[in-house]
Amino acid sequence: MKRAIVILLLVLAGTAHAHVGSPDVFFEGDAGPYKLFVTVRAPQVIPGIAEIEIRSETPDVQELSVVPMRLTGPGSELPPTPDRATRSAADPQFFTASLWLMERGSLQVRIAAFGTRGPGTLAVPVPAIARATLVMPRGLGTLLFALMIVLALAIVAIVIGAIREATLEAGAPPRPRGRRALVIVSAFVVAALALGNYWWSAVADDYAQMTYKPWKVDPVVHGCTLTVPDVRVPVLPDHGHDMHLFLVSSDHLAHLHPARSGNDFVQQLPALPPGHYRMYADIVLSSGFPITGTAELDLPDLATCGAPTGDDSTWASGDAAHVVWDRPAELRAGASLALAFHVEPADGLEPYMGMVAHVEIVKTDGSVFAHLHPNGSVAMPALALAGDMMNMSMDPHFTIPFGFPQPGDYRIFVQIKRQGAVETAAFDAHVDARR
Amino acid sequence: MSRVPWFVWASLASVTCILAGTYWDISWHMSIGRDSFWTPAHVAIQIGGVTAGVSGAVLIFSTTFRQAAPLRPTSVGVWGFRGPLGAFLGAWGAATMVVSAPFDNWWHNAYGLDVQILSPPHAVLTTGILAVAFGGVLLAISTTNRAEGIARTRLAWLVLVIGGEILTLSMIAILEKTFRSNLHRADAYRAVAVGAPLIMIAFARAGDQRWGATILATFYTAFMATMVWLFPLFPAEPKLGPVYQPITHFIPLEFPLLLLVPAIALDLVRRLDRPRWQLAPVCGVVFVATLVAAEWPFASFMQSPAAGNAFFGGDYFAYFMQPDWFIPRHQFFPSHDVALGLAEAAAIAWLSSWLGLYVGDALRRVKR
Repeated sequence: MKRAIVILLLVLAGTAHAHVGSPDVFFEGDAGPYKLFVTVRAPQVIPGIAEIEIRSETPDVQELSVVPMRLTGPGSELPPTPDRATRSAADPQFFTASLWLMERGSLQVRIAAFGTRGPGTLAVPVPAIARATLVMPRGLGTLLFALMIVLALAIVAIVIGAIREATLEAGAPPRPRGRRALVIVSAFVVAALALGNYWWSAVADDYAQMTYKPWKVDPVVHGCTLTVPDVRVPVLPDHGHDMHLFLVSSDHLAHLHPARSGNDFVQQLPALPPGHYRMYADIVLSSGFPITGTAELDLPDLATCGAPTGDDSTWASGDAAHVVWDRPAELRAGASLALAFHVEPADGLEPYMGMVAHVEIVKTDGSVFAHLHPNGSVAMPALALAGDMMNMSMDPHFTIPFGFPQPGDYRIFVQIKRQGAVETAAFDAHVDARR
Repeated sequence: MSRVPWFVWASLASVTCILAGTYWDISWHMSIGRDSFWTPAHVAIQIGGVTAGVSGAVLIFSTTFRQAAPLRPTSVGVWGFRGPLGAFLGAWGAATMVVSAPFDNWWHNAYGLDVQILSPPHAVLTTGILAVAFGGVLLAISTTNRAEGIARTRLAWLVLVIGGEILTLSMIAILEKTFRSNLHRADAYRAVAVGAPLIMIAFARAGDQRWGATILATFYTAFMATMVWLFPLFPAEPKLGPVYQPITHFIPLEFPLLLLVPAIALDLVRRLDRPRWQLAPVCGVVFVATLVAAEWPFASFMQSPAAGNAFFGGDYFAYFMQPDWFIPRHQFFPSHDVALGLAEAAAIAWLSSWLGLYVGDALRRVKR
């Protein structure tokens, strides 16, 4: 029960976050007639400034403006004065803007485009969450501390000066210096500073409570049944499933869809070899705020558990899939990318949970996990709440908007459905450090 | 000395700039939201600080380095410098205001832009502002205590005006506690009890003014009410989101609390010829009792449709006020243990009144 309350509080306080280690939003959508690739670089603190990058696919966009709003409900109807995005001098199809995100929770950045083909709008859901507290730079800290000491000594000297002379008639000699007054005044100043320090610590603690904390799941495996316990929040179905759960090991992947059972989510596990797995569980709250729970678990031998059913799928190292990655010359952390893939041969390509492909990107050390679609990193229910069209195209050539948050080694799983069967392709990629 | 010296005018100008800037800044945050170092409101506050700092420095340096400086016989010594006490305090306050700027800037980067009035860096700024204001008071009151005749009368009035400005600043500082939805909780009255009795009694006592507290409260009431009528005349729209309330003009701060009622009561109680330790508890209890008696029903009125007009400003809400919060729904926050809380408020007011009497008596003796 205690654990349930903790999870509930964590979730309601918005201290968890969709994806793992990948806070930025990458999104491709249509603002009326204009196709835009939008990157929202999330601020570390809330309220804080999000950096927005927008690339137009065509050169006919003349002006872009952005406003922050709530995704739904109050706050989603009255826009503030829009911020006009700055067009790059070197690349006229590239625009940037800085936007204040004032609140935590499920927000949207609404983009208004205007060009030769008239106006258009696009809403980009942005889950806003404070992720860190900055440590004061040593130089600034030293300077402020020195100034504090000077000001403290000065106010003691001023008060002592007042005690000695302030009430004297003109020209009268000052009263002698009293040690008692010095001690009392100094004690007052020290007490005031101590009180300030206590207050600062209390504020910092409160803030730390509201910063991002991973949602640590405590899954239970009994035979072929996996239970994610105590998820007592209403969720929105994503591609028809309340939860998408991924089990990842060095040579296996399972993409599963546990069903709600009371306060728990329950999944019949498919056959999987024993070993150590990382677990990522995606849900979307009713506000459209996506959350990923994480766990590590050692699975017993599940060879007798049967084949995956419905939309569930598994992959083992060596499995073949008809997916080709049009790999770019280099991959750099921080860069917004449209990861391009195509299905070859494309005959028999079918929608897999309504889309041409589902992509999971996992850093090999487990510190980054992202669940992506042709629209990008945005959760589909949030997109629906924002009133955007989902990318339902079945074009066998498709792109996945994303940016690798850190340098290192990643595995990219691309899942399609072809001739009635789910196929998973795995690509290993090394990402270089930012320039 | 028959004329009011320049540095008293400088003190008045400094505190006035800070008061106007502070009010404007908070209204800016309620209406427009986004600001920079150079908004008109910030510039007004900066001018106030610079005025105090420069006039303090001029007074200190001229008094220290000119043997024949007129203020030298009435100066105090600090770290080898000489000058009027108020000049030192004003300069210290200005320096503290400057130091708060990089601290506040870092704070925004570390914890996010604060949307509250009282945060640790703002407390440093407020300390600086209070020092500037109190420095101005000391400059004015030491000059008053040395003056005679018409100059003394004029100076005494200037002291009361600065006192009114300080009272108003102190009430703005606790605005989050005294917002209309909080006025049926003891919390609000505890907050008012901290500063208002101290400031009103100290200035009334220092100036030996029979209606001193009433004059200060009148200034506060007139200032806050005028701003409620004035600010909505100027257009403004939010530049931050999410926006929950449609805004087309500046949103003023709250209609003034009925501080006039306890102020009159304090001025009447002060006539009792009793020592401080006997007078203070009477002042404290009377202050809270009369404030609650007046403000409690008035707060109910402010929450009613009858206050939703341009005179009382009952329907002015900041852009970030979510419609399901208590304030836009004209509801009071839930309240517990009101009687105990009000008793605490009376105890705080007792202490505050004693300090006011003490500071007032001390100010009467300040000559330098």
